Amino acid sequence: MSSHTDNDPLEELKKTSTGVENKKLAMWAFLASDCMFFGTLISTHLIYRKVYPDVEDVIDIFDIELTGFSTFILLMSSFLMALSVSAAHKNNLPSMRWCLGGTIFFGLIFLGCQVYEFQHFVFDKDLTLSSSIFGSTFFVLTGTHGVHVALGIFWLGSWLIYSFTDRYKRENALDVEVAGLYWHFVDVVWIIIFTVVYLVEYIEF
Amino acid sequence: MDASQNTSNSVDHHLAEEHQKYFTFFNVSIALIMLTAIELVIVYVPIHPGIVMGSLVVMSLIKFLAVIWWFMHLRWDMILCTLVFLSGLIIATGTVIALMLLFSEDPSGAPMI
Amino acid sequence: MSSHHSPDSAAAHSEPTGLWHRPLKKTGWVGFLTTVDHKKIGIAYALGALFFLLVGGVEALIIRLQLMVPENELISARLYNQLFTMHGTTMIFLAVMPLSAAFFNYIMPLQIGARDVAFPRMNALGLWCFLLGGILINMSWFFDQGAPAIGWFAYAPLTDRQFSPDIGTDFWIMGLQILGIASLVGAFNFITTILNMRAPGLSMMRLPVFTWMTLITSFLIILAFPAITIALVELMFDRHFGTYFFNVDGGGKPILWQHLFWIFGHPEVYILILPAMGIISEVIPVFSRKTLFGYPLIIFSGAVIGFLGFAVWSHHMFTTGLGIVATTAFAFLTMLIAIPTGVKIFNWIGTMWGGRLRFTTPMLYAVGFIWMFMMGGFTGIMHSSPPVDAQQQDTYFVVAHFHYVLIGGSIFALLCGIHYWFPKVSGRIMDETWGKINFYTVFVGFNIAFFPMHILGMTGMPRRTHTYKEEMGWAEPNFWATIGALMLGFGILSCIIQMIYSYYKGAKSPNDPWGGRTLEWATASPPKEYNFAYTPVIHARDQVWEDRHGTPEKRMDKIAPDPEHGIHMPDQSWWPLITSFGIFFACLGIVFFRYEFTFFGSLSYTNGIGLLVVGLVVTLVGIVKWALEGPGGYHLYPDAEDMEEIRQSQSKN
Repeated sequence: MSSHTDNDPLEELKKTSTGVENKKLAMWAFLASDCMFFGTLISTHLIYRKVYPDVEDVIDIFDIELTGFSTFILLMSSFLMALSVSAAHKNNLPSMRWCLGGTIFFGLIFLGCQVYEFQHFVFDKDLTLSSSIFGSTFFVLTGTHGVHVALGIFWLGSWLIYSFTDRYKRENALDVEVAGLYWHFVDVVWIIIFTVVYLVEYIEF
Repeated sequence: MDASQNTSNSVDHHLAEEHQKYFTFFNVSIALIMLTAIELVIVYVPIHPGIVMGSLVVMSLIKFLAVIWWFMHLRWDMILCTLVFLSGLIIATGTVIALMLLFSEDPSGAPMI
Repeated sequence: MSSHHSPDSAAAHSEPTGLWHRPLKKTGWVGFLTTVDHKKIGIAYALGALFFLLVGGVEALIIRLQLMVPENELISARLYNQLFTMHGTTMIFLAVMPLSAAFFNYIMPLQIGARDVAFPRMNALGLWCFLLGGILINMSWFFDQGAPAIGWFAYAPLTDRQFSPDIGTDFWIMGLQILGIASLVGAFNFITTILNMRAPGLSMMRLPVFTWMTLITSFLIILAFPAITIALVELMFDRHFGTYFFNVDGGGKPILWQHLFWIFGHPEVYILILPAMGIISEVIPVFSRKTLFGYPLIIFSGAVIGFLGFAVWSHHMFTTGLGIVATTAFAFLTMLIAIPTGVKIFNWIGTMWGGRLRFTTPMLYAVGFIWMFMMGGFTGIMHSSPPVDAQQQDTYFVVAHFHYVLIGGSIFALLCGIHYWFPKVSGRIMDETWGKINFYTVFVGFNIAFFPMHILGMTGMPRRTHTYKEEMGWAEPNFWATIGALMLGFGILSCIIQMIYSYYKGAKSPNDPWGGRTLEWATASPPKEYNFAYTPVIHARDQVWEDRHGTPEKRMDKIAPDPEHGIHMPDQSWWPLITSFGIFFACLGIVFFRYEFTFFGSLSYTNGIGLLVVGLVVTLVGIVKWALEGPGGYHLYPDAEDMEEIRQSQSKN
């Protein structure tokens, strides 16, 4: 605690039975749980794609250039996130703020792409939640992922703002790292969704 | 930063390590982008769909593992974090695969419900 | 006990941090509503769970009275359906799970020598979400079509709006979501606490078995609940937004609901029974005056049960026609689970073998557990064979089976735990004579109620049937089942009355009335706010036993707190309560999404979006303020008596 000013406060947080910080361990447990969460959603989508392969002309609906672009964006945001965590650990606040800002900016572009994609599907392609089973599973799966992205942006944005206040302390680097773990996880979920929801539709069996 | 006055040897060592990580992260992100580009192209290449499918699976898996291994610091963290995460990942993967198999044709020809 | 606030948290205490100043009062309503103390939270969990146990029990008794005689018309068929739905939901989610959570909260931190859990405010959020979730589900009784009538597993397509247009189903969906949040935040907390906050020297293989089972159960919760969360979200979308996840009109497959439900539902069965096994593994060695036989095997088989629990869900669905390969695989895996379960039973028997047994009330419940749980287990193994299962599916045989494992198993073990740890929690002991009378009432009543159901099931009586004809020949077993159920209900009620009586009038108990073996018996009864005045340094698995009987080098070392800084304690907070109310109102908004309220016959209000937005805003504000407030903390100093104890132990070593 505060009494040991001669030690690095980040190292103090590691003084647990296992040597892993409490918040980080809880976050990894949460991510394990989230694997099941998205696993169930992705299974629902894949099962109905498998049972009803021809329910919609999916290739006509999808716009792989846009999705490919937003995938790049999300991967880049993950790179910036890793740099923010690194900067936070170095206690280089200006660098951390720029990288966090960049992460949030790219996250917002990704969300913008998704909003555009959704309205394009609904208004131009007549794909809605209740137009077909494909619409139901697609929107709920990608929408849930989008909600995760939005929550991540909110979370990272909170730390960006907080870092400008004098309440930001050395040990908050851990909190930025934990928020970063969440952000990276949202990114890996998208890596899976991009492959199994979008790309495999383009394979001609 | 008042915290920087607290720096000790361990923190200096820490700094050097963090500088090193920048290059790792950069290389990983380049690799991720290259793999995504290959994924985007390969689905249009007129080869056997099984090969395409297989390479998509392998490439996504590499991307997935790269992000959790380097970006999410599992490489530098205690093994416990990896184990906790793997518990969920393995059970989730098993469940997805089992569900996909359950919704396939039964080899004995039982009708699917 | 003196206390003062540390310099680092002084700022947080002197300036207002929101709508209110940070609550400091420990007593009264403010103290209760803002508490972060794992012991108070544990007691609140227990009280809530016992209340819902009575509610679910009354529902069960009405069901039994309806079935007491053939062609009875005590209640309508719809009310009957609502009662068995609510009975199952209440008993599983609102009675057994939270009662286990009460023990996790109260006992586990004491067993590992921790001051509190890793995230005390999250723990409070779990408690409030549990209570509000229970209230939300039961609110459905007060709306025009009443409670849900869909069974606790809510099979599609019955839950479709076309077949269940009532609002009760929506209450059920959203209530379960809140309860899911409660279980999940609790589980993340326990995992972190057990792994990270163990006393020095308390390695994983020295952990008490109950703590181990808490850890395994928490992993089961975090991995099983997401499946039901998603299934409920999909069902909610089907009902509110016209998606086709389980709606046959658009190609939805009702079988998918069964899969998703049982992917959660089967691990849930182990979530209900593993804590019970943990309690039994604590009680039997104490009253056999022997160490637990095969400790590593008990831990390992618990973990194997947990893992295999994710690989057997389809055995609930043998009769749906999964295909030969799937059916065979799931039958095989299900039979496999009998092995680790059998290992545990042999270990308990091995512990008792050659021990100097004391048949106190907790021990009676523990031995009763072994016997009754074995009977439930045997019928369970029968179900794992698909052809046998096809005969027994949806009959009273299945009802008998799972009541043997859930009452004869879980509830017996939880009652055992209540009797065993009551002196620790209250400082008073429950009367043995009265306890034994209660045990025999519960034990005999339980068997009279549920043993005839095996016969009823074998002769073909279906589950969830409102009534039956005299000619079926089911009248006599049903009559006895009802008599037994009344006796069981009386026994449980008597137990609860005895608890209340003992709390006020029971004989004073010493710190360790049983000759306990684990760390919770080393501290005061009831434990002081800071649990342990010292930091215990552990040298053995059965540390408290070693302190009494072991060699000197195995005695516990006690590290006195820093005289300057004392013991660090977390601060109380309003925000968990406020956040949980935000979640509650948001869920209520979704329930009312399509519901039309009519006031005074004409005024109507038709959508819940307003309520949803209000709820989400409150949740958001709650979370942000929670984060800004920080964990806080103040320092406590052990009293003179505690310091004297530490000094004595240090001079002895």
